[in-house]
Amino acid sequence: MAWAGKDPKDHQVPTPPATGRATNLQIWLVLEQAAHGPIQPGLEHLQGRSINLSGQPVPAPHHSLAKSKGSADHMQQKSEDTFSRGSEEQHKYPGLSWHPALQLPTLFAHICVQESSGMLSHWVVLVLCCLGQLCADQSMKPQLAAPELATNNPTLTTVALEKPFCMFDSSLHPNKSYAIYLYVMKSSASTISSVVTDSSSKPLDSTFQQTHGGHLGPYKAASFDVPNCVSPPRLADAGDINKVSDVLKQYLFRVGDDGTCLYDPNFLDVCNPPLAPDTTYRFKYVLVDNTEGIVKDQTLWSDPIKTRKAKLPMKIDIWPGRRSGSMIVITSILSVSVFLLLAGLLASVFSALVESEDPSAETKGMSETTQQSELRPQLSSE
Amino acid sequence: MQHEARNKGELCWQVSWEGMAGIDPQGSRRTALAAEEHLSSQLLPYSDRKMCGIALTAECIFFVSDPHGLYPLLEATENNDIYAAAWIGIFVGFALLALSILGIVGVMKSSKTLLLVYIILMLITYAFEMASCITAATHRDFLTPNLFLKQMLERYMKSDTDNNNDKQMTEGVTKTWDNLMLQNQCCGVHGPLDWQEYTSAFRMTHNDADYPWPHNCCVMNTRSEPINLDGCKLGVPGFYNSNGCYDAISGPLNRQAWGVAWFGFAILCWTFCVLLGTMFYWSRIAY
Repeated sequence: MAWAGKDPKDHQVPTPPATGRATNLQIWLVLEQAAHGPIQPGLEHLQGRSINLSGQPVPAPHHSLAKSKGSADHMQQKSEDTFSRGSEEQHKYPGLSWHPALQLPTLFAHICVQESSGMLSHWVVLVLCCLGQLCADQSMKPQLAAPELATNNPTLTTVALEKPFCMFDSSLHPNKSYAIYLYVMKSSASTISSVVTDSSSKPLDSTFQQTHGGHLGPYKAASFDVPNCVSPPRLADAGDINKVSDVLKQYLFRVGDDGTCLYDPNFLDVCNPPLAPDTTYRFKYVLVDNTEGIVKDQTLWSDPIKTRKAKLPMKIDIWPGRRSGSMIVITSILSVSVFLLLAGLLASVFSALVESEDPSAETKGMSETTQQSELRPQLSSE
Repeated sequence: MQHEARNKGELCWQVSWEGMAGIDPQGSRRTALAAEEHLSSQLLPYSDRKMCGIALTAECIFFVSDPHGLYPLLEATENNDIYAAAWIGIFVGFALLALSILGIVGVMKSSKTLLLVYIILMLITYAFEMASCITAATHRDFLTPNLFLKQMLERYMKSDTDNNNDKQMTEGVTKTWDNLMLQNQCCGVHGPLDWQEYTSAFRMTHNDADYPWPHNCCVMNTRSEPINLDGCKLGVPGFYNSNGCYDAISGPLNRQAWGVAWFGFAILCWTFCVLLGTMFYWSRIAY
């Protein structure tokens, strides 16, 4: 998107405090304007702050992966088909929720570029553009990978971050080669410095061991190519066995992936060792020009991301709690029945003993039965 | 002679009673017939018990044979008493079978000593079966998800075992869990996050970056390899098994416990009635 240094020269704007970036001209101006006007809800905290970023307003990454970008030459043609492009992308990523409000910043962006060629009053244009950019400014930070895709994130020692799609496109020059560096830092009060460049704008070359795992300052964890903004990977392809490796490789980067590089003396590349559990980290992407070796652009430090904490298994409570009703029924009924059986056995043994001890009882029994048998015919005849 | 005028049912009862008590040793043919009828109706409960005995034996043999291979899990928790209950059930079933034959013989001979022996042995068998039922029902209550979770975390792939017994239990647990996870396409007790939320013996030897959970939790191809390891490690849906194995464990164990406990209880209720009748009958054979 063509914010980069071109438009301000067309307009006559007062010189802002030196920030070193031409794009801030517009932003400062609009902030002054906006300070006296109505601010969009949620943006009050950005009021009056200088934002040393350039780049295109992008909706939050887990809502979309691509924005219609390109160099300034294509911008005007593309602005017409913003709406159609938006709906195209909606079809590309089914299942991802599209927040309608987040499509506005791109709209504003396109209108800004189109109109800033001189048609409307540049004040109105700048207000619109800045508000649109402020809307999306919160996303100029590294984000966690989409939770629908990476469900186990962050883990005990790793964090999967989305690659910076379309965040640096305004700073890219078509004929140069760039690389993106990822810096990791522990988020604590005792962090000494959080600057990733040295005095000559070259990126810091710190390692995990030098910074004690990000404790003293940021360390470089990765270096990769600029992700393709024009044709980003489709998250829907992650269901396909053949394509999932490519999709994952292009879409996200896993900090803490390599468990062996710390202990390997032959390892020469950038080491990305596992993080510490139960610790908060912050991340930053930096755009570096390969030929000159200087930092061209960088994102903000991400929100603090905490790795998981693991509990001890010996603290798991295995007490079963209440007895089940079945067990109580079985036990009680069976106990009572055993008692009755024993009582019955004793009674029958006792009665047998009594009868055997008393011989007259036998004859009594005999006479009783004969009496009964005599009685019965009398009864039946009656 | 006095019996002739009576109706047949009363005759039957009275004559057979006298016949068995030895009061009327001469016994006419009618007496013998009536006695036989009475005998056959009395023998029925004993033959029923033969069937119960065989059924109990068969059921308990089925449970002891452990078709689902879950015994090592219980052995490692030192909570394997539902298997003890099943073993007792096998022997009680045989005992019921044998004793019912003894009972039939005793009734047919109307022998007082045989019946007394029968009653006492049946009481002993009754006590054993009661122990089996109560054990199965009580120990079923101990089989909670947390029990299996704790044991899985402490024993699965444990590398430093103290002694032979520990080593054997660890190997049993590891093998059982590997089979469970492969066959039922499940992971952990509640889910794969069990491995992330708790430290474990597995975590000591396998680092989190390469093994957030065991590779058996991944969706496997026909050669028992994960179809995509990166997808499995990140938790991409479709490349790892997200459901827990607790249902696959508790289902068979519940069936075993309830099978032994309630079937035994039913047999005991029936045996209770028969025993009471036998005692009453025995007390009547007074000579």
